[in-house]
Amino acid sequence: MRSVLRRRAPARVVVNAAEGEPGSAKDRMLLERLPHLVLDGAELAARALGAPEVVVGVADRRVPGADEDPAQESLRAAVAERRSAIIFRMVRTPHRFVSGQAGALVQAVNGGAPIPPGEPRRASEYGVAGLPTLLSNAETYAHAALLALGGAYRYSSVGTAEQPGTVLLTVGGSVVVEAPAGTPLVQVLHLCDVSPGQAVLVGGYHGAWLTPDVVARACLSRAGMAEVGGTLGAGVVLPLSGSTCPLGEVERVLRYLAGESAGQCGPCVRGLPALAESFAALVGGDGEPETVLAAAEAGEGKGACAHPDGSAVFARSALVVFAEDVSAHALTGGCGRPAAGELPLPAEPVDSGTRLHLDWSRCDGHGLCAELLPDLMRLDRNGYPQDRDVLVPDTLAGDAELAVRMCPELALRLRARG
Amino acid sequence: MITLTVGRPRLTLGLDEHQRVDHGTHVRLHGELPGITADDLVVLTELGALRGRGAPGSPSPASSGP
Repeated sequence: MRSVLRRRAPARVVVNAAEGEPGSAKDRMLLERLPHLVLDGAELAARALGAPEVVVGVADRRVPGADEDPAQESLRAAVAERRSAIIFRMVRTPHRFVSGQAGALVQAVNGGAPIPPGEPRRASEYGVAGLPTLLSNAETYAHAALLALGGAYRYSSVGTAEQPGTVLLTVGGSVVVEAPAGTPLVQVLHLCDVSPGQAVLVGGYHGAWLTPDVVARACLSRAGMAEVGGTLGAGVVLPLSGSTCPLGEVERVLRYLAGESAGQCGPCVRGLPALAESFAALVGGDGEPETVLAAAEAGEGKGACAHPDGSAVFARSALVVFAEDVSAHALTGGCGRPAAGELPLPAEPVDSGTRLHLDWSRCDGHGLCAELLPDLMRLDRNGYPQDRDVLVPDTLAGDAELAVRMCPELALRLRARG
Repeated sequence: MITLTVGRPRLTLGLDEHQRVDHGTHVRLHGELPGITADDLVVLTELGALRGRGAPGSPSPASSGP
């Protein structure tokens, strides 16, 4: 906020409601049911900064042929109801994990690809159209509106001294809960009529697992979560019942996260599938936790965004909290429970699971594929590809098809999942 | 979409009676939006310790919470 003011240039206001986390529904709830709190907060900021326009970034969840998305419909209706002097513009971004990141949204608003920029830039200094941009989450604007409308005194009559007011949580992927900051986690679980089960994931798919005894003393504030080694993040709370295989559940999410890579940074494109594979080996009982740790470390700090780092945090936390399950799988090859799919993932398979397959007997080491797919195809010392079979993220599907067509020896083929 | 509240509703005020809070209802519940200056906005967001509430896990380097 201060840095937006510092530049003394016309500012822009952006509301991030793109919500890439599959386990989060709070921003969608705000748009669908309480759009004017969000728009009030944004309008307040726009007026104070002299910004003529507010951009609201929403995830495009529309299914072809289906009705209008209720969140977008509500937002459009809300803008019409207000008759404000401020222009509200809606920008749709594809509903993907990394599209919810601030940098990705700024890039999308500027007409680029909705992926995090290679060189992170502070939106407050160089954001929409290169102007200083106040970019915050939909919930933050709703809180700002509440502060301005009711006053700081009333606002801070609940919550903690460090974190006044309330927080929005999404429990089990669909129930949104408003609770004063600092509320015990068990109280919220009780309200939703769920038990901590085997463990509770807090902070979403870049977050951490808490064992039931930790859950019992965890409080829902930034400080409270940090105290128990968790994170509040976007307020995602996902309890895992006792009847599902926790390792299988984590493997599913790691595969999803691998498919959600924007496909622009090599350590992420290659590292996240390797991380998912190493975890899959644990599920099958023939893997080593050390392999998972090494795979988690490989991509850390090496991406344009926090995706590889967050995925590593998630995988490491699972290793610690489900250590007994890892031993049980290693001893007996499994735990007898199928992975029930309790952790929410988007309904449509996000990644089509296409693999690029190489025929060694044809390959003559021209190296064109490595030119076209630098993040996917690596050459060995002799100039031949290192791997004969690699998973192609959907974002690289076009380049992979080109590589198949361009290979002078016709040594490459694309194979569908299965 | 199910929305529950611990204690008295703040953001979620009105959801017990309304599926969607339209502008008329919103103004009845919360009042008209006051005009504030940039300095007021800074003070308000700092009073509320408002920081990002969207980033999954750790805050992203490109995020710019108020």
